[in-house]
Amino acid sequence: MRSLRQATDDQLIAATLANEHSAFAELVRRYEGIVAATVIGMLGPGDDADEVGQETMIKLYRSLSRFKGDAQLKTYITRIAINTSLDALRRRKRNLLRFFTTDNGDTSWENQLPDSNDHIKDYEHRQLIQQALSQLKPDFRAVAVLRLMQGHSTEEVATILGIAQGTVLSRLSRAKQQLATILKPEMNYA
Amino acid sequence: MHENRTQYLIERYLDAVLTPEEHSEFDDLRASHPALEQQISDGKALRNLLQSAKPDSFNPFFQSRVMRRINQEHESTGALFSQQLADAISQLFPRVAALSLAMAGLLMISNFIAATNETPLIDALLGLPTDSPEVMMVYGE
Repeated sequence: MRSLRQATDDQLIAATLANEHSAFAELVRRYEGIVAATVIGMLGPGDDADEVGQETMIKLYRSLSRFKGDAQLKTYITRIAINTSLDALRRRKRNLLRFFTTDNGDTSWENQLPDSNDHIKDYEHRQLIQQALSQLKPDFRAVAVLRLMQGHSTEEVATILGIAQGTVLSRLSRAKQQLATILKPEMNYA
Repeated sequence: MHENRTQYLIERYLDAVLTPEEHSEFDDLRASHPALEQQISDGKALRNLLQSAKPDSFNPFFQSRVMRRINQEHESTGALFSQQLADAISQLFPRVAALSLAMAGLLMISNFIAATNETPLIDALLGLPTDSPEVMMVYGE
């Protein structure tokens, strides 16, 4: 095979199935951004998100032989990432209930302090948005992350989540109203 | 449904993928519902805001961590396969043994039925000939 960086997704999948681990490493490199945007958008930054990101990639590895190529790999990976994140949120909620606390979202982002002063403003900005997202119910958060943060069309969001497009539109409308209320001071109408 | 249709048109407008018919429908809707302007500008502003905070990577060395776990899984899968093979054999052995015993029993019954009355019981069960090997050799000649 030519250089892994130049290989198509299909070539990398075929090589992975032939036990060439470096091909899968390239897929991980290629799709880390998409998985990070989905998982961190859903859970907030932190070790939990990193763990769910790894779990997403391992699930992808295990299911590659079943990937038929009828959907784009990007959509397939995003679906795994969102489902794994929703599972993690359910686990988190169970744990929170076990300790008699309320679910106001994850607070792991509070431990992710910026490493230099230059990043403080950006960090605060991200933190604010992450806090706003964490106040949405998981189903609404998933739609907001996929549509508003990642820019998927509503048809794609419906495919990824396995729900009707009408459901996506109504959840999106509610999520936008809630986010607009929380983030009004940050919104730039230029 | 009407609310969803409005939402649908707003989202397609924001993606700049309205067909000419949808565009005209959307223009009419905007003219008759001025409040839509706020929804549209909120939609744009929210999208810009969230996209500006879109995470693009995990902690450093994410790829290495994933590959290490996959390699570990591969190794444990090899061990798991050996264990599964041993389990399968140990589960299969009693069945094969029972089947073999049953077949041997049937063969003995068949031999016993076919044997003459003078044949000793053991010889009849095992299907041994009544004549000794020496006699058989003489007959053979």
